[in-house]
Amino acid sequence: MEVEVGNIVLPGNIVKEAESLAKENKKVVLGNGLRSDENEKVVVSKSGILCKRKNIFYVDSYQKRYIPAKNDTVIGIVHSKTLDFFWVDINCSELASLPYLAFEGATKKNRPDINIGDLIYCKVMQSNPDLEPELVCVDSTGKKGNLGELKDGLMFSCTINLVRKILNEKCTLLHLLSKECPYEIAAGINGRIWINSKNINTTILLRNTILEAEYTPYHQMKNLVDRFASELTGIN
Amino acid sequence: MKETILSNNERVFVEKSIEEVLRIDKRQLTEFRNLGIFFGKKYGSVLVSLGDTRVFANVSCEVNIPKTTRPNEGTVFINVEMSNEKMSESCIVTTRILERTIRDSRCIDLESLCIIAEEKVWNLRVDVSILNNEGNVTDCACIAAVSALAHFKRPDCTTSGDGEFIIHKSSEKDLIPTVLHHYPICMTYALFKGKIPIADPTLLEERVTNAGLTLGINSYKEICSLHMTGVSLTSPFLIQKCSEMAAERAKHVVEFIKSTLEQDSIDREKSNVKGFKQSIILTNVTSNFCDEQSIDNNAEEISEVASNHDEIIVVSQEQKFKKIDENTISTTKWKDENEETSSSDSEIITLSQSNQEKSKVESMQIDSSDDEEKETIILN
Amino acid sequence: MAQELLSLQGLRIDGRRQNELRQIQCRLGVLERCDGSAYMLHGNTKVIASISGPKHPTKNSANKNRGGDEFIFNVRVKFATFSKNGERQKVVKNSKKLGEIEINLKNIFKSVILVEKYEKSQLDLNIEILQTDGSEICTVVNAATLALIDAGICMKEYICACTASLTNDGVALLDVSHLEEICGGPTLTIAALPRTGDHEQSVAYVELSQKFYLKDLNKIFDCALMGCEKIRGILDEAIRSNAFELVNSELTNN
Repeated sequence: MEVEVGNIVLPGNIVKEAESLAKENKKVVLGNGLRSDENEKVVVSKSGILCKRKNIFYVDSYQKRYIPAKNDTVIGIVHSKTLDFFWVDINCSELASLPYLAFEGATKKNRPDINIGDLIYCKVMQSNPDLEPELVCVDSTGKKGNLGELKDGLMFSCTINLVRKILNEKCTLLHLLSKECPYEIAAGINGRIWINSKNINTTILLRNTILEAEYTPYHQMKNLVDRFASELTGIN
Repeated sequence: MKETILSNNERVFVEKSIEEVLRIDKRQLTEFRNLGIFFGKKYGSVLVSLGDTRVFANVSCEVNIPKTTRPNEGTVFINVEMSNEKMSESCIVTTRILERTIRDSRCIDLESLCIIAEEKVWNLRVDVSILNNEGNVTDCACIAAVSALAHFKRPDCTTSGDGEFIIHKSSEKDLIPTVLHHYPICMTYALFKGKIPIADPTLLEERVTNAGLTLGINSYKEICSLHMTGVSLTSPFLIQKCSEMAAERAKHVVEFIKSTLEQDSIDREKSNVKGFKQSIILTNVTSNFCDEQSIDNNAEEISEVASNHDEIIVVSQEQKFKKIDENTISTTKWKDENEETSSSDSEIITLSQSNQEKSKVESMQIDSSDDEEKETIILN
Repeated sequence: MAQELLSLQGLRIDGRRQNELRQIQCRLGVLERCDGSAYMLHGNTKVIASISGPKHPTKNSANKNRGGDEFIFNVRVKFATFSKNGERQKVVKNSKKLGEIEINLKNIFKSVILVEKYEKSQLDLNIEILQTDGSEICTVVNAATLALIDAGICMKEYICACTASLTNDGVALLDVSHLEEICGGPTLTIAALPRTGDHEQSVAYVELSQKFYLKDLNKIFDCALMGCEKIRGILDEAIRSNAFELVNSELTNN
């Protein structure tokens, strides 16, 4: 069955637009949830909504488990230490490795001060399906940026599409929340979000608001934030 | 499947918030989550949900030899299973707590389960499966086991003198309900630093403390079991305080179980058995929302496939469903944009058109939506 | 069949008064090859506890242990086949009752052992119950405490355990025997740390079987806690006399 961009799709549907673009010799990138079979047809392999951005087609699907992809920023929990690297749990099928030297200012003698159970905001450097994923805590210039250990605050898990939704440009949630109260947020694409704010009450309210935002359409985010604001003032 | 490791952040945060008398899901320290009891079509099967924790219990019976020490009493066997682990620690602990609360407190009238003294008795077997563990599995499992036992009806049997007996089918003679003297309910309190009791801990709170106190109480303020789990040192005063709080709640829970049981028997009389589908009624938008979309189905393909079967089952929403003519079925707009939440009851409709009477479904037409921004569909 | 738990004269089935303990005898250092051992006799219940460790973690335990630095405490409880009254018992592997006793023992002792001193090491506790006559868990906990002290493991305090029961008239009975367990009322087992100075008594473990009214909880609790105090006194004496003997033998040797 043929579908267009913006439709709900099921595995087995055929995307004609991508095919026609490809026939015109334009570059078409098939993202998550699409594949091309032997007849050079573009077939959907996951259920969700078919989206398109420039020349990239992808399927926006509901998922809780993370599949690591290169250049994703994720929040990991340090599981154990070996001689050369940390084993970090990033909510995928296996533990990822994070070498000691992949931190800013780390040398062979100067190891990073990170313990088991700490939260780390890091980037996926390599994600070969045959090996474990590799993480780094520095960007390409060797600077830390905003990566590294996350102290204090609260980390909670959510579905992967919630994280993508709040990081989307169209979603005004984070912006509106920042007008109500100052807070820090680190969103890992692996379905983990870390927030920190002045006091524990605010943090708990923020967490509940973000979790509710999963089922709120974009144009109703304002109502959600208004409710958050009233509860905040109600307590303070 | 190993559990993910608990990060230090979560642990520190939960401990700090408990000190400030706050819980992550905005409950009071002594507040329990919502309890839902759903009975199945078969007697003795029940699904209990306490917040997000889901537990399923099933009671079955068979004829067995009684214990030598108690020759005229039936037996009860309780088994708790978690989906992935065979005999993990928590499984063993939960089973033992249930055994103590239900069996040792003598809530079931075992003498009524006797068929022929010293030879044949009924053995009731309660199988509890933990479907979703979001904390406080013990409470949920206990309520499930007790409700299942209260709901269960065993076949009637008549004994002839020579030690033979006949078990009657439900069509011949009515089924006999189990007699429960009292309804023991478990309450679990997680203990933080041995001083602060938290009622009905979620999974995160359980993992942070590890220590807990489980009390089995019935509605007559009788303590049926007491059990401390985990590593902690508490004062006796705290245990007494918790038991008093638990006794208050036990009354409400037992009333709730009894009223659900009554409702279920009323429904059965009207032949309006709802089964487990009540437990999946959602009042939220559960997924992406979209106005309408056009799907061009290859109707001939469908009709070919359909011609090999007698029934075509069409699943759609009850209210937004309209039959235009014999051969076409169309659904109108799935959801109004302005409505945030959908209506309460959702029922799955099965339409069966037998091939002999009607012709095939030609096309399903659902209009398209031009607006790309509004992208959510409600699956009710 | 229900016998009178407490007769008109105030005597129980075995002739004790309402708050009398049964005879308790204990000995430390009974097994030479173990790092610590103890033999405990409580009425007719006889238990031997032995400790092996602290030692290097064995391969199996190390694999199960995530994070690497934890203290591993293994407990194994066995009922001897001749332990119960009547016929010989079959040895049941993976019995839930035993599993629960083992888990409870682990939790009780982890709350008193100073775990920080024993990181990356393993401690094995083996309990063999030679004869049962009620209050087995109680005796097991007391024997294990003695064995741990004999092995020189650092602990915060003694842990003593005791049972108590309740008659129909609401009189609390201390230290139940097997007969009283079966034909009597509820049995409450408590493992507690005794009172030290201004420290309130802390309870490490509670277990209750059968049922009774909430308002009687106080009575039965207090009775059991008092029993724990008495047992602590007995254990204390035994340990001190054992230490005295050791010191004396050292002096005579030198």
